[in-house]
Amino acid sequence: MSLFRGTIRPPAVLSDEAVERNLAAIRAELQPDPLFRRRLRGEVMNRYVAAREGIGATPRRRSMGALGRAVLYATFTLAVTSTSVLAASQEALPGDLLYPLKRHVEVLRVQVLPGHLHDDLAALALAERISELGHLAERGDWGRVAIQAAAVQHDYDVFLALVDAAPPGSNERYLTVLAGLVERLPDPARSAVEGAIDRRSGADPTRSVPRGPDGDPPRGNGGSTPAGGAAGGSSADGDGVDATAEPKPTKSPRPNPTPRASRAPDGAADDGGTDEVDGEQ
Amino acid sequence: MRDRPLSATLRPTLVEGPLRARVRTATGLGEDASVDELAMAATAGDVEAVGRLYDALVEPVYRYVALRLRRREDAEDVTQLVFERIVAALPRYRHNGRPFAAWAFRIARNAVIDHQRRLRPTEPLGAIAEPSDGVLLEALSLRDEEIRELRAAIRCLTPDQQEALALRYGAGLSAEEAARVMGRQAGTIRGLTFRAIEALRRSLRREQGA
Repeated sequence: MSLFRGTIRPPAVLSDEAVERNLAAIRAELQPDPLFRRRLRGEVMNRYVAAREGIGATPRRRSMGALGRAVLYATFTLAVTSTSVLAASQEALPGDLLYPLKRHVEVLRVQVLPGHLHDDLAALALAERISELGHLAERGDWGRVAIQAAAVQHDYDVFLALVDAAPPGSNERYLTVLAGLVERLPDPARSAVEGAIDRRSGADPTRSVPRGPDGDPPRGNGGSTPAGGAAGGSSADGDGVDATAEPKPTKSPRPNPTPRASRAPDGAADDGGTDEVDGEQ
Repeated sequence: MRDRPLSATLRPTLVEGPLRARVRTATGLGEDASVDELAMAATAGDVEAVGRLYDALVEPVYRYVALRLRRREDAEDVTQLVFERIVAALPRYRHNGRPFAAWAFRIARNAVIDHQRRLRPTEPLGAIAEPSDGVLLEALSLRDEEIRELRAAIRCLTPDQQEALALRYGAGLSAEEAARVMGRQAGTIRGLTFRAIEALRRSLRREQGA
């Protein structure tokens, strides 16, 4: 019994012949199946011929170059930005950065659309001005309310010209809608609008004004409204368009809202409005 | 006999594949056209050259793939994929002095890696070490215990050693060609192969001594 029995025993020798035999066996197993090999050969040849002849070959997608990708991204960004700006401008009010863009879009719309839609657009523009006036009044921006009243007056003139040119009775719906819009305005804004309208009516009593559905007549109190206080100074353009409707009693003769309008913080409703109206005329 | 290096035993045993064989059919290229010449002819539109190229490459590619994947079905699928990719990429092949075999085996290597990557998340850990479904390539090759031990020993090598062994002794590539395929230096491939063979020898000796 030797202590070195385990250590002095020589290690098992790996026979090279055995390794060679085993590797040869492995290699024999690694041959592809003859059927597979024949089938794959046919497929490869068919694919090559089809590709060469262009038969059944799917058109290779050309990858977009860096320049094309940059142009694509820039176009997409520009489109998104333009759309966003245009959408945002439609909510702009006088004095906002995007308000000129909004007005420009309205002008473009008039230029692009056919003539028979111009009266619709004029009514829409007038409604938009009145709505802006209401927002300004809610905001308490009295200085801009007066300026906006001048804009309302201008759009009202444009609208009247188109309405007068249209067959009688064809634009009654506009008048109804506009009268409804005026009715919904806050009192100071309404007085400014009415003042602007009355100013035109005072200058040319035959002109029609927006009336309520029941055909209330206009009030001849132009000189008492904040914007209309100076309206007497504004000259009528006297375009000679005949009135299509006789003045009728107003639906609900409301008290003159002058005191409210004159409560404007900066008093701009009196002076600024007058100047702008004259400037507009 | 024991003084003879194992690599010297392996080399003539495994490497007598079609890469070294000359084509039999007669074309305009001649019967002894090399793989590179066949590839250039195939690129120029020679259909027969494509067939001869396939004949020259199918066995090395299949052996390489089978050594890396072990399952016969997987080996056939990936081999088919490799040739589809080779045919698709053939019009873009330019012979710049680099062997076509290296180019083709790079495609094969990428296909094998893609396949292994796809299988890895779904295959249980024990499935690779001890297959039991009866359809594994290993099961088909179990002729005796020694073959089983050799294949088990190959599985214990590092991935790089297995790759080098499969390229050099399965596909029959030279060290330079295998280096191009693996993106290494030829000396690195020789070192990997040497260490792989040494590890195999140690492993088999241990098995027989136990």
